[in-house]
Amino acid sequence: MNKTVTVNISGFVFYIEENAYAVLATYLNRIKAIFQSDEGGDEILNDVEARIAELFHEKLADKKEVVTIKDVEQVIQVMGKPEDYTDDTSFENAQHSSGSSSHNYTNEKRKIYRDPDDKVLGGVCSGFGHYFDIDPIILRIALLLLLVFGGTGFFLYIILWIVIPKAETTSEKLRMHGEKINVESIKKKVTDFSNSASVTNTNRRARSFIDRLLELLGTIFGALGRIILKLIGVFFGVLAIGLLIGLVAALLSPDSELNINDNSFSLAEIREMIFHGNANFFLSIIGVTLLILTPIIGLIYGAIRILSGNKYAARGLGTSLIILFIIGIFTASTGIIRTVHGYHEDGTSEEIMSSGSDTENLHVMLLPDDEFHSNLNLDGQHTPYWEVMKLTENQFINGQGVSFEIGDSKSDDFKIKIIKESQGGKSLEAINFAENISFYSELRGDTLRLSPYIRIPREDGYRSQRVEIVVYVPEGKRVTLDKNTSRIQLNNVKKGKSYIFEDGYKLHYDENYVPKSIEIESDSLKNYKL
Amino acid sequence: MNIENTKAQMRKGILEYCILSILGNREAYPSDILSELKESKLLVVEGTLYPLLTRLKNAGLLTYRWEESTSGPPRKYYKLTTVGESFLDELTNSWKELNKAVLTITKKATK
Repeated sequence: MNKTVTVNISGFVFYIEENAYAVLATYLNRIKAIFQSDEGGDEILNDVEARIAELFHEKLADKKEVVTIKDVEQVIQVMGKPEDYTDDTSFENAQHSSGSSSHNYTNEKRKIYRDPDDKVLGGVCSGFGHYFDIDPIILRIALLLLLVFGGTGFFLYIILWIVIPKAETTSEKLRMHGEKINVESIKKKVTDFSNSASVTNTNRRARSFIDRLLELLGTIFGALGRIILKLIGVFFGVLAIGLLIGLVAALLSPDSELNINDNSFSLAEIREMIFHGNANFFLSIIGVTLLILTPIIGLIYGAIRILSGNKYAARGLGTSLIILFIIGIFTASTGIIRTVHGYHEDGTSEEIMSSGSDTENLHVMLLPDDEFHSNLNLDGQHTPYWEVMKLTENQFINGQGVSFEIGDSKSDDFKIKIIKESQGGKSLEAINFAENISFYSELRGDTLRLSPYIRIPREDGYRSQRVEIVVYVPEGKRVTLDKNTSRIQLNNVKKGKSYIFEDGYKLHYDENYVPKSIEIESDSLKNYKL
Repeated sequence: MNIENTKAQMRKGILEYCILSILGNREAYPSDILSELKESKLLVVEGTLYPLLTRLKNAGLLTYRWEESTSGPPRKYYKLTTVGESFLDELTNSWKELNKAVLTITKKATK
């Protein structure tokens, strides 16, 4: 018992056994492949099919209903093997068909086709690759560059996609590769594909318009998906490159916080002052480096994988990167938490001075700055830290550690409170650090002189040590700030801004909005507006 | 050098001439042409004929008309065009000359 299928040959319907059909389909397909590119190839095939129909007709004349494999074999014997069809009488060709195929390649002039077997979108690049004998990946990258810079690549590609035919038959594929089209090469190609592929090719002719439309839509949507995937790949690549450039720029740029130059601190000094120990520092650095580098490597790898169509997939790289990233999270957070922990307790040390009760106007001024530029305007946030910080052999000098505030005094004399503050890992440690701050101040007569910076023992390290001076002003008395006080941080005396007290008192500014002197009466302080 | 190939080359070379000759006498459809060619052992398989006919037709030497058949698909009946006729005359002349030349040479060679 044999399964049969129905075929339409030249407008006649035949019942044909399935295995016989497979043989016939392969046979016709090979013939078709031979004549595909010839002028009138379709006509030849139609003639051949008509003749086969006629032969089948003769065979089925005597009450037989089904075409068997034997019939097909006989018909093929009558019609001849595919190689007998070539009436091309060149001697070389005949030699090839006899099997002595010493040079199969590049005898045939190459034709350009789109390669459906090696495609990202439409197979245009691989087609050109075959034509010019170069790796299509180079063309794809070139196309991508065209796409990114100017966008002409997109239209170019679409036009080429439309214009260049797809290599569908075996002979087209051979021609695309520039291989000689003869029975040997076709056989080789055809056996490369399964029988089913050959059957599909034969059926292709009969397929309806709607089928082809659906196929086209499918192709378009598939292509859109692939385009989006490729765009993600490009995005990954660009992002990774951007991050790398940003990283390098951040390390090299003169504005960068990490800037390593003559004025700033070396990494070793930063390590000593901020991280309070090598362990914390190296944990943090290694962790942060891992956190920055693994995503960048991952992005580059992802981009390469997507753009090469998984050609360069490295097994385990993704997993390793994820593991490294997690290790990075742990080491960085350990290092940073341990470092930050050294700051989490607050400690203060206070000292109070008072003026005589006969002082009507307290004059506040800074001592000459012999460590930094004394006329440096340090009020903004924009002064680089190395302009106001200095590390000597056994001291850390911070020109931004002093702040000034004004309050109300209940008594009739000025009270001056010097508050030294510091952070530390433990409360006692913080207090100890605060006490270690050396800050010079003197009250002589009605003049308060303050040092513009604080000094910290180098071995204490940077613990956010600072000094706050609060001047408590009795009712009806006033404070005059010397213009050089604009150099320190004046907390509730806003500088550089024009504001008027409620009683109409005006601040005096020079043309650069730096107050020449500020006279403040204690009553008016409560209600000043900006 | 393969003897079968050489024979095939020789046969193929005169095949066109023979087809034109057959059609010079009468209208014929491929099976008729085939049976005549097979009779004279010029053609072994039928497949070779169809590309040849198509080529000759495309070259303007042949033309055909359709005729319904009782035993299968409609048949193409081929005949010579006027160009084909003069082409055939030309070929006949050159064949005679060639035949003579070949005979002279082979006779000399066998002496």
